[in-house]
Amino acid sequence: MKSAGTRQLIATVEQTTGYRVVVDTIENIDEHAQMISARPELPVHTIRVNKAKLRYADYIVASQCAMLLRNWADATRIPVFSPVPEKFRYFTDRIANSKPLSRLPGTLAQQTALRLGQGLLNQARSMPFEILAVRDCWETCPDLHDLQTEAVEVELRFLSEVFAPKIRALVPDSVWRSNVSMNAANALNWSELSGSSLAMLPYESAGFAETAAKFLGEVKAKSARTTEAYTQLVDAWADQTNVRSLYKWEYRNGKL
Amino acid sequence: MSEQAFNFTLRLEDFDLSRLPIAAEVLRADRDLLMQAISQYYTVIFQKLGGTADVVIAEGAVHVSWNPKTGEARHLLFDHALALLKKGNYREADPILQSLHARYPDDKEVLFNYGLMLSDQGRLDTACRLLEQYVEMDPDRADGWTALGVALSRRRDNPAALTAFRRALQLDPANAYAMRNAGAILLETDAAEALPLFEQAAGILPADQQTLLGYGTCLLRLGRTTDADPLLIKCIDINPLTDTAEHARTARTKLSHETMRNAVAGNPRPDVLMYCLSALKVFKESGRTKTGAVAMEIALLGRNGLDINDPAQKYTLRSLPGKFSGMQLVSLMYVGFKIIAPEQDAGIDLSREYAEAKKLFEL
Repeated sequence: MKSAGTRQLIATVEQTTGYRVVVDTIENIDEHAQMISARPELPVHTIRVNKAKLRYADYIVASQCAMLLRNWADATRIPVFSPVPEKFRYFTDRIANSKPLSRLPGTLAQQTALRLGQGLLNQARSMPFEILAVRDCWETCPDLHDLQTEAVEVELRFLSEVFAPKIRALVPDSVWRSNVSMNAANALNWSELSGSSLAMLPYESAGFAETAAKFLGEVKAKSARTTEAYTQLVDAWADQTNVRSLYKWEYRNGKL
Repeated sequence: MSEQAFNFTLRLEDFDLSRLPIAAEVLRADRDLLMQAISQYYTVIFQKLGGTADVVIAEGAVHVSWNPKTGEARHLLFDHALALLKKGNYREADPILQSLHARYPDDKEVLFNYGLMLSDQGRLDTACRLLEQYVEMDPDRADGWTALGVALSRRRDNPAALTAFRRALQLDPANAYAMRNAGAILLETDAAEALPLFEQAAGILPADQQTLLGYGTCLLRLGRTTDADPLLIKCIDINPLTDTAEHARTARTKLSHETMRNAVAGNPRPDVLMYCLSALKVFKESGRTKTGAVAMEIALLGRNGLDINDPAQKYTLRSLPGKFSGMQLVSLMYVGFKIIAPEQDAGIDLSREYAEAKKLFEL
């Protein structure tokens, strides 16, 4: 890796968890990277950077390491997010039966609801740590500030597409509001770090400034590097977005 | 306060909305939001530079007036843009160079640097236009012709690009970038003609990834695989997470497969089949955890390049006793991944040998 900050974060992960970090590339995925956390059968953390995002590779690897460090705060008790299938099914049925999806043919409504439900649950689980990783990298890797700014703003631009009229018209109001609330916290976080409030403009204009502060407040209040803080943070966001009953926590021992 | 303000005007339709952290579609649907965002964007940029900035949006255009605290505005802005370009921070350099170009359309330094930046960003029509203007104004600068050649070749206008590189080399016969890029064009039709250019460029730029990739690829085309492979390995080692390294990796993988398959006319290799069979037996006894550890250790070792064409048993592992050849290790790794994580790409296709080995193993 070119960045000293990234190299430092990789070394910290290896030292803290006791497993090596292997960086590789991957194609045909939507995310920045795919991360496979170490387990006894595969005793390395594998970070596979999306080939289409190699320009941001140093920042992507740094942020994945920052997230790993939080997930592995206690290597003997690593929290594992486990959706409860029957509750999730009930949740997506409700989405499928709400406007505007209820106007679509049955299968299409179900498929769309499933995608929206999965997206929302995944966002509540991952975005608080993406925000913390943005903060951790900003602090730990000053040499990455320019690259981080570029990568984060690309992501914020993508997230703001939810305000496009055609998307707004396709997504049930409750799902849309939950999604935008979390995105708003992400934008507010970046505004605070970067000193530019540009990213917040669409959220302020749509009346999400207070919600953003509330969600971000939870992130700051539960930012300790402990397993408890990790699960409590996800639970707090899940409470606010009405997905708390859809999953449970399990724990695994990462030590060999 | 300096006496001269820096003023420029830009039509809103010429503003690149991808500079903002807000989706273009959302901005186009809400004109108030668009104007607020552009106004704030320029205010932040110019206030960062010190002094005072006024940004007004009227009649479909943004009007910016910047008064630096001290110094001459054009020099301050240009030096700042150049410093940003050197750091690779195109995102911040772009609006400053665009505003300088809007204010001073015939400034040679601005034309060259803005043209280069646009070329790197893939905005090739504008890049070519600015660089053509630059070489017209200053036809004796080799770097101008090289930059124009690069932009033209990126636009797939190879004949014009080659002419530009040749002009650059007439003016500066030691211009390694012109050599490297001219070589890349010639390589598409005549590797032998490209080779001397790459050889010379690699002598001047021995740690340049693109030069090494071009040189290695050229040698591959000429059938000099033994000479090509070390260049491709070096190209990857310089920075493994770049597009150039990816191309080098792809070329090496293809080379390994071809070498391996050519040896047995495309049939399963008996030695590899036996290595796979032996690996299946070893892993059956050692269990999943050990299998994972062995496979990952080989994968890590393999990142520095395993020589699969040399039968000598020159490798050792921490997780498994004995000495192994490169192909033996690759077979162990392949089988290991098939057992613990079949979704993982082992980086080499031993599926035929593995399938045969499994049949024998299950007998």
